[in-house]
Amino acid sequence: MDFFWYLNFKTFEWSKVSRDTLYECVNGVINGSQEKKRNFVETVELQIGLKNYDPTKDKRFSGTVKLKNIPRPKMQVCILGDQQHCDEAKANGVPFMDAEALKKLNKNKKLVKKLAKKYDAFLASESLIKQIPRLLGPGLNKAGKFPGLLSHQESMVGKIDEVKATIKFQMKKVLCLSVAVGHVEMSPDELVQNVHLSINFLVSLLKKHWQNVRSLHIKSSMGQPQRLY
Amino acid sequence: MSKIEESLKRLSVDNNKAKCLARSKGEYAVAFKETVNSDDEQNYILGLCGTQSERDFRIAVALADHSCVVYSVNDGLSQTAVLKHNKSPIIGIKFSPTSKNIIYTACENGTVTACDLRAKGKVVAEFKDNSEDGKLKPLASFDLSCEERLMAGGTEHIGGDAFILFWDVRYSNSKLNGRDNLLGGYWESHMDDVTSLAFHPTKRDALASGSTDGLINVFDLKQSSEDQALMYSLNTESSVDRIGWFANDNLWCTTHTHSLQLWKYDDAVPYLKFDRSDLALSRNDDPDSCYLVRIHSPNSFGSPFLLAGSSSTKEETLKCLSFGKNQLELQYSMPGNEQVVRDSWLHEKSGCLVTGGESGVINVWKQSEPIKSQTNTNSKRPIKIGAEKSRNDKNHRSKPY
Repeated sequence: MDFFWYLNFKTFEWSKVSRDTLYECVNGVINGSQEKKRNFVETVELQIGLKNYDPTKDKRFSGTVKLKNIPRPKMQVCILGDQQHCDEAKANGVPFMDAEALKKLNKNKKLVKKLAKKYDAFLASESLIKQIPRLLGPGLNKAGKFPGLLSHQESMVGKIDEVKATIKFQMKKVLCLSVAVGHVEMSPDELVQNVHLSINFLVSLLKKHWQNVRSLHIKSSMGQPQRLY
Repeated sequence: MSKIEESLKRLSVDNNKAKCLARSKGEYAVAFKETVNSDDEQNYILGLCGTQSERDFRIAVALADHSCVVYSVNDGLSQTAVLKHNKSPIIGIKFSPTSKNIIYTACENGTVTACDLRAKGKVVAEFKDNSEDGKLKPLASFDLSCEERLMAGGTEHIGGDAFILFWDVRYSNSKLNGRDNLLGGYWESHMDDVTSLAFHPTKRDALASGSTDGLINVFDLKQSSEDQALMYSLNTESSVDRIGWFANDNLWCTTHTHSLQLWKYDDAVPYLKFDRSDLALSRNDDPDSCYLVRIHSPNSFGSPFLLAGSSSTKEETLKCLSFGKNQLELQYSMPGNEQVVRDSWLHEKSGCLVTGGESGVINVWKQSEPIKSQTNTNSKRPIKIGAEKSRNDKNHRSKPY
């Protein structure tokens, strides 16, 4: 009983945005996109406006957060694998390359750039990840696609989903930030979960938490913004 | 009856305190305190550095109003110089490793200057990127090599590139000689702001860089091109705030999401990783108010420790943590902190720790022995009563019946 009370107290403190408002806005976004169909799947963005925050002296607002539901399902992840991982990738229908294939690129800048362009992200086995700078030079670094580690202890599909579910955010010199947290074909429940998790994480990073938040909106790529806070 | 209850309560509080003391291996106490800005509350201390060479040392702080203040520390803090030549936010400050009279400051507007404290802080050298006409790249980080030959500056992501620029410290383009001292730069290893640079403390050609793109790159500067110089890329899968070398070729890294990673420079995963929630050691600590400052690694004594704090409207706490197998352990408690600490510096010879932060306060902390600290607590009682009270209140709140 005690524990429950504490939990409720905690969530109450955290959620300046009520469940009802969340659902209302998420439904607003989804309905808006259904009324005016586009010939692509619209992304759903969370926009956060800050106050009492000075980018010249306050700590940077930047990082990554793993969401519950995959916001970008079409992301293509390529495995740079050892023998075992390549076999597993083959069995799962996941694109892959082995050390020999990477060596063939011969550190050629154009070819590495082409490889970086072809996929959205890379995962590499432990033995390969250490050799990437030697084999490919800084090409993947420059593209912002240096691989994450795929260990033999975790499932390949699970790890790929984790990469797909992780979003990056970074605020530069303006006091607002926009992050893609989903798309319009997700269910309202899934979207609400992602929006809720993102809000809580982002606000927890701010020094004065909710006192730094000026506004919160969600919108689809082409739709009207819906005000959450 | 109620009196007995009260005294029992007090007894249990004392017991708790004894346990805490037993757990922490020692205590840092405030030896000196100085407030840099009595008039402007918003003038944060953003950076801090000092001189290692002697028993008495100098420290310098970089402030949010673009000025720097230098102090000498012996039996107290005495101000020796104020540098007001910088015109934009200071992103790095460092004493020359070879002279306590030369101090380098790096500015966001793209210039690094060296000042001579013997000549009232006169600018004796200026370093900038003069490769493109008049357009300086905004800097986000800077460092000097161990023997003060090379200087490196990390830039923000600008025009599609994020640069690491190199200068030869011996040839500065001061107004006297118009010589070009920019040696060159790297711009392929990072795709976003280079937020931290760290030369190896003893190997002069080893440089590590950290960026908001999540990578830590390790370079061998002896190589002729960036392709060959890039030795290792460590993927933190986060956004890198600060990095540093410690204990024989290991790297520490703090991220903007308040996590800490410890890496062997040639490894595929951090060998230790702590999230923000790991900083909350007790139930009363709220993970969402915990933050990291940096790692300090005393060379001559003790193992590396992490300086971390917790900031809420109720109190500002600070502590030194050591690395257990899977958890952080309290190494030194630091009673008396009153601000969000932004930077810190350790004087290795004396073990003095200097902190500076968002209230513009400089604290010089000295270690007291664990046995002594127990007697100390008695004398400090009157100050701590407030804190005890609030802890009592909290206990009551979580267990009302």
